[in-house]
Amino acid sequence: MSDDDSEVPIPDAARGTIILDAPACTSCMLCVRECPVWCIELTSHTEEVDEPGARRPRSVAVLDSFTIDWGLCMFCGICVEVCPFDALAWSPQVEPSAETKSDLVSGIERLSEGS
Amino acid sequence: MLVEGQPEEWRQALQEAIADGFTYLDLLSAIDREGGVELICHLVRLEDHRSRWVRAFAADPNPQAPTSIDLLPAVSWPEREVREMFGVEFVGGSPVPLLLVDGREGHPLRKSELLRARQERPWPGEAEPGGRRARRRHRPPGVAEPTDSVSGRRQ
Amino acid sequence: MVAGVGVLRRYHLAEAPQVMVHVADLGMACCAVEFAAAVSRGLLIESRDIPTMDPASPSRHVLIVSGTVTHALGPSVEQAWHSLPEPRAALAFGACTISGGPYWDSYSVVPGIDTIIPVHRYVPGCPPRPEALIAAIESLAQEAPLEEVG
Repeated sequence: MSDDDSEVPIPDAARGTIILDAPACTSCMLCVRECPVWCIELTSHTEEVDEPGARRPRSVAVLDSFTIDWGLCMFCGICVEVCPFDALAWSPQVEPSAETKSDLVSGIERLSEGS
Repeated sequence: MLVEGQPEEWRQALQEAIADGFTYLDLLSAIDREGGVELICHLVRLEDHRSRWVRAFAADPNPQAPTSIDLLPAVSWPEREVREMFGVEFVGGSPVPLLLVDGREGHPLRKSELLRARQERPWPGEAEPGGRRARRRHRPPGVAEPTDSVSGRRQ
Repeated sequence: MVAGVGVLRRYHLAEAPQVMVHVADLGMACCAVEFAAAVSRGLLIESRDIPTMDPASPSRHVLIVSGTVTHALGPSVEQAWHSLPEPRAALAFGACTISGGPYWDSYSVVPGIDTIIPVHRYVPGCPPRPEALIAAIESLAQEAPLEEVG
């Protein structure tokens, strides 16, 4: 077996891990609800935004926290497909191993790294 | 050809099928129905590849049917599996579990039996966008409606 | 296919041949295929033919559990762990071994092997790539012998 066999280039479209574009997230909760293993958790709060020329301010959901538990995730991609705002996407990067299960829970910062 | 009947007729129908040459067991299984369990058995006649379905409805509570293990030894494992997964008593048959770990209660393949982990784990989808209070509680599949423990009414 | 309890193959990493990792591969389900892929791609090399092993080089016994563990087979995993000599570590390969994965709510699946044996590395994925396995083994092999966790 030649050494070249051990090096298999990972295509850009490979489904390695899932990344978050946090500014695009509207906290609609669809990914959380559709995930078959309940591995996504999301918290948000409501803020009022003044709209110039509007009679009253607009209510907007603001993302507070977004976590994916990679220990549960089965990388099915349903969350990516269901997001109406394309806030979730596939990245070819390999999700690294961890010493503890809690280290496998990624928050907004780690999920945004690949964006 | 399909034969349907009551559990008492189940064994009789299997016996007749075997006598007619349908001696090769393809499957013996069950379907969870409202009010009971439908037993199904598919027997094949190897000479001409014809087959016969035998069905019976074993009603709740305590669904049961006579065993056919003395007619066709091959039904031994499927009867044990249906017993532990659906709770159907095959009278006269083997009580030994087939797949589930000893001492485990319940019959997992009946829809009335909910997965415990799903009831116990809080569903992250309960929250509403913006942290608002929901008018109607969202519920994930496989999780029971909570009932008022005093009156038994659904909340 | 459960590797026989007591069957311990020695593999070394292709990129670090002096670091001997004695791998007990408990291949339970689909993740076992990725372990096999790592071997077939030459990332993990079975050490049958290594004539001499430098006694000064670090060596570690690693139990790699790949694939769904049912309650019925849980005792076999425990037995495999207890039969592994020191220094040893256990690696949970894939979502099923970490948390039960897709079967986290099943009536017949162990919801994470850390409920029955100590685990020192968790490799996420369903299944993880062979590269993830190699990186995790490397990180284990380069550590000083660990205290038993939990």
